[in-house]
Amino acid sequence: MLGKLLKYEFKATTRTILPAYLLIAFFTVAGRIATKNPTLNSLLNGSIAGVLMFFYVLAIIMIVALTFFMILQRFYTNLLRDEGYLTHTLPVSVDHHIWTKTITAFVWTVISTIVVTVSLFGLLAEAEDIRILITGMQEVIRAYNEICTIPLPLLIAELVILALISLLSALLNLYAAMGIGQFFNRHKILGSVLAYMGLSFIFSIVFGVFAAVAGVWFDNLAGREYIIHVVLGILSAGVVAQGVLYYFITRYCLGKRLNLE
Amino acid sequence: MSWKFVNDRPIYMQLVEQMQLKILSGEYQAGQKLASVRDLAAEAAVNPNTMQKALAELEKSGLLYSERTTGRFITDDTDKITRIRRVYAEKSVLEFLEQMKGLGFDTEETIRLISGIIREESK
Amino acid sequence: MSAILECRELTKQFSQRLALSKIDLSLERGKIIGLLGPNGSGKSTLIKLANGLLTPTAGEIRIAGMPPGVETKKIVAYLPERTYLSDWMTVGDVLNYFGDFYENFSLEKARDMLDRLGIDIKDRLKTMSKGTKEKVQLILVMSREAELYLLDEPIGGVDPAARDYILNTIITNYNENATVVISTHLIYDIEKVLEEVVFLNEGQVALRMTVDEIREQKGTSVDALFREVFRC
Repeated sequence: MLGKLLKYEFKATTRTILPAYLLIAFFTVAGRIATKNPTLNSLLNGSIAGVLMFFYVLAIIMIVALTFFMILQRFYTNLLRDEGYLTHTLPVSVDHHIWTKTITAFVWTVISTIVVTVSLFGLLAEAEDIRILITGMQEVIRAYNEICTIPLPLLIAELVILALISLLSALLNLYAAMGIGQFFNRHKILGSVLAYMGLSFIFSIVFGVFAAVAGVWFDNLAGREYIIHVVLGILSAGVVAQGVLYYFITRYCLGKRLNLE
Repeated sequence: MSWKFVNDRPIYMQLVEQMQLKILSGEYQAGQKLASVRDLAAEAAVNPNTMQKALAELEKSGLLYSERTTGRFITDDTDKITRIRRVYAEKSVLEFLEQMKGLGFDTEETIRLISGIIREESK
Repeated sequence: MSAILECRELTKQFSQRLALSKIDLSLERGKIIGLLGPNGSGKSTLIKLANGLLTPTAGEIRIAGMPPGVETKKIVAYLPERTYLSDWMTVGDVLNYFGDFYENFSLEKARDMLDRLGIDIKDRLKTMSKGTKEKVQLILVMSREAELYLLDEPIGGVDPAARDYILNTIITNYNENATVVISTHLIYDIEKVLEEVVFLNEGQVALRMTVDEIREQKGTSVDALFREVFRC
């Protein structure tokens, strides 16, 4: 069932976001041609390039905004509004519904990030820039290896995992907030925003206290390299705990306490 | 195949009466196989269980009979149908005579009225 | 075992009002039952509870002996009063959707009914009138071989010809294992199709009789009785 839900969720979201990706692809290519071609540039006095740049920036902003709002909108309309009458009467568990939305949101966020990054590179980078970048990175790696014995790939992997887990947790944070928001009968959206701020506030305090305590403890361990692993591990655990809590809040709101209109 | 219903009487009773009329008038022929309960109900736009109740009544009165595997049939006992038709007709006549009496016609006048009208009609 | 829907002291309290109060109800299989009552009597609440869209405050509700959940959703076909389909889908998309999630969905039946009503499966829902969308939703529900059909105002927004077609579909769809519950205001039009009626008033069962009993004992139609019972 989860597979089928994912299939339809991707169908619904692709048709929204794909045009934006195509648009940015167009502006990247057009922008590159316009700015990097000297004859064309002088001919049009750089004005067309300027206009294209403007629309390019707009397109980037649009992808970011579109991805974000699409994630919110899918959860809200499909689970908390009229479509919910269909969704919640499917012979599918609430968990599957939450995972469907979370997984697709995760995928699109990652893809959007990649698209924007590739696009920026595609627009601006010269062969020269790439060479400088590579030499620079090699320099950094060499310097790092002199200071630290932890293999860089491992460190990077840990950071990436932390980033991805944080993304999942952030998505579930949004969903939990929307789940809570549905209790504010006439002001669902306002309620969601307040819930989001509330949850963030609570967790930042918890994290703050935690960090303060940890800070004291770490002072004693200062100088040992594996501290990095420990710190990252604890951070990850914290994020996971947060995510799990958000998940259960969402599940409770969409399950026992569901109240469509 | 028209069905007409009134509001204040049970539907199954009205179904029984109207089916009887259809049988007596020959609209449903003796020995004819009836459609399924569902189809009959759909035709009359009534609840299938109500139609079932009506058909059960008609079976009790002997106008219908059912064979487990083949379905329901109008009785092929034409004598029976004739007898019931006669009972109905007699009832209608008695009702009519009551009506005429209520209007102030005695038997003689009623018979003359009937003959007169029939002659007019056949012209 | 034969009861398809059972409510025992079923209660639902919302923050501002008590929608259902200790409802005891048992609906048998193989019936077409009318769930009637004025606005706010608790009809929609009862139907939503049966669908698992709401959770009881107290008491319990069971479908085929099970509490509302994934298993009951497989055998319950629900037609809500509102449009619940995604506008961007075509009728064909929706057919595939239903076929994917419901094992007991009959694609041929749905196609046949859409054909009869002149609805093209390539049409996008966005382009349809409200009445046509309602017909599509009804067809989707009636194409499922469910054990309990919950229809909330199935004939409200459609023209008389379509109304006849819908009632005809309900009759021909009948099977003795399944029950159809119709919640509506238009009693007069569907009275002949109903076998039993349940009157709800202010969250309680006001009356429970068969249509024939009402006509025999009260000498009036269900419609007339309703007007009498719920006179303003």
